[in-house]
Amino acid sequence: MKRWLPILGLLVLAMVCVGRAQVSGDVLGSHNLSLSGSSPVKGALDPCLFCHVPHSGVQTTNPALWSQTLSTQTYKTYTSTTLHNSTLQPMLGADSSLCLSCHDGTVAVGQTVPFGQINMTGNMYPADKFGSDLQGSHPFSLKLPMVDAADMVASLTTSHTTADPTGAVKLINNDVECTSCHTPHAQMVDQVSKNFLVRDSSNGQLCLACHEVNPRLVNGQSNPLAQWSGSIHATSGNAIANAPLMGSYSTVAQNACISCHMPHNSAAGPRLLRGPQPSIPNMDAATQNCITCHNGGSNISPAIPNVYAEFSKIAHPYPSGVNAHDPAETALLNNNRHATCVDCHSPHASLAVSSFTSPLPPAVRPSQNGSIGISATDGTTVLTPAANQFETCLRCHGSSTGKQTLTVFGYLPLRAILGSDALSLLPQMNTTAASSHPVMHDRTSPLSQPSLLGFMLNQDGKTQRLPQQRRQPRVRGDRAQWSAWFEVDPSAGAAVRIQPDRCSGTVDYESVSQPGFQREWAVCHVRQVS
Amino acid sequence: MNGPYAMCGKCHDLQSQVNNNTSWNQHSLHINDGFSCSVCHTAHGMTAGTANVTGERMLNFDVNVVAPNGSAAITYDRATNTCSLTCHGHAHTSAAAGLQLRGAGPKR
Repeated sequence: MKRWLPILGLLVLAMVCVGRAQVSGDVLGSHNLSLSGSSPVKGALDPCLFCHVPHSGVQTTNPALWSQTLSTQTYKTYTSTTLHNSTLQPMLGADSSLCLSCHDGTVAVGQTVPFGQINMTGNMYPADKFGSDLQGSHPFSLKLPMVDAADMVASLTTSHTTADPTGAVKLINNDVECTSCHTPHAQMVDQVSKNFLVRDSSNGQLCLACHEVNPRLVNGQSNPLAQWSGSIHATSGNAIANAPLMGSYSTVAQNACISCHMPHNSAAGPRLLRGPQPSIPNMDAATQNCITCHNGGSNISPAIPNVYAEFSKIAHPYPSGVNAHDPAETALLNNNRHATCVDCHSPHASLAVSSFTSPLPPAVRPSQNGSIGISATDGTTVLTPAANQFETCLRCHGSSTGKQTLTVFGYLPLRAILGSDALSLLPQMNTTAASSHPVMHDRTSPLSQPSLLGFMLNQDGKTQRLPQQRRQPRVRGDRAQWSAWFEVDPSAGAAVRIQPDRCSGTVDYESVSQPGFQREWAVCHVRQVS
Repeated sequence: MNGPYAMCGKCHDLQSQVNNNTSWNQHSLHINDGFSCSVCHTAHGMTAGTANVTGERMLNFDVNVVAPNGSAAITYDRATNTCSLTCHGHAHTSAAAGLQLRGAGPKR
């Protein structure tokens, strides 16, 4: 035994030296609890020894030679209706339990096993003390083996590796632990976040190590994040003007996931939504989240349209608490009556709206890209995604059960002919209707319709008039062009093509693929009169 | 255009078309008597096979306002543009007797 002592001594010396090397400069950042460190809570001890000790440390199997007394707290762990991998209590000695020995706030900082309680001054930042309720924190300590899901990176379950090209984001023993995302020894690998992240997390890069944004199909479910990369929330260069509410980076695109989600301290719990501070009373968490930026206010620069103001008019009422939106709900909203932003919009796929004429209604607007709907053909088939705006409405206003009238919407006429389901719009508006506004189908009535305003449809009800602003010809060389969108009745084919107004020349049609629609872009070529 | 006509007026020319009777020669009469579009028209559409009311032109009377004319069912006949109903005590008799114009019944 004696001959091993010098070797053991060298080993301890080497560890201390390595520790010293790491402490130089500001690498440890606020994890340097020594008197000379930058932590808000300090004590007279070598910075390494608050967490690590070569001898006489925590008597729990752990490779970290842990010094700080572990917490025996029982936690409320993260749960949600869309969580595929259930969470367990962190195992004592596993990485996350080491972090929680300070960060759950139940064991005093400096309560070491080998040295007893070190006299400390100051306090941890409140946001760094998670308490016993971890339902506002990203799930970790999962039940193994992990279960695959369409919105998760496949290699997590196949090879227990993440998609992080730098390799910094890792599974720990095939599990998610604090140290999957955090490195306790370096505060500023991400120099903006300064949250001991293992890598630069701008543009959601840390999140995307595990959360898949490419199309996947797992157990019949397609990836709801599949259109994330092109969405406005992933690409917007608008500046986040109010950092405490939003992410730490400059723009919406750089903040990416954390524009709306927060990995810790989410008051909303499931889905880890941020929401505005203070929260807006009587409004569901999902809507609050959107309103943070979409209120026309100062959180975002340049400001974006004030959608919130639209709701101060007579609008869909917010869920009242018993009928909240849930991402796991069925597309056909039976009884669970509510309409939040995310019932008609997919925040992971939304595109910016730059025109209200392209694509023409009833096709979904770009802001509705990726939203779900119900088919007008049978009233039950789920469309992922919806192609037309009315398919979103049919989640509630078609064959769903529990439809009701509310006094907030004003007077409801009592019709002479009600039908079997008076509140279902399907028999009133689909192709079997005797007469209807042409929303779910092109106009089919042979009767003339003289009352429409000039800018409305042509009287065949199928083609849109040349938009006023396009009537001035664009001159190119010796030709002038008018151009316009024409919606073509699929049953009649090319026969219903209408020449653009005032086009006396040749018309070139270019078919354009629109989901669920046959559309053509017509260009009128007219030799310019000299 | 305000009040109960505002939404319809976003697409339909109420001033120079509807109120000028270009689509039906009694529109002006009814509108100027104060009836909103929804007394006679449904906003969305008429289901198929709608007995009595023909289903055309999205005619579906509001029976909070309109009642049957005697024992005859409430009807609308587009071909003759006539109705069978009583509205505020004002009787309308359908095609066989021709359209009853205002003043044919007690007004309220």
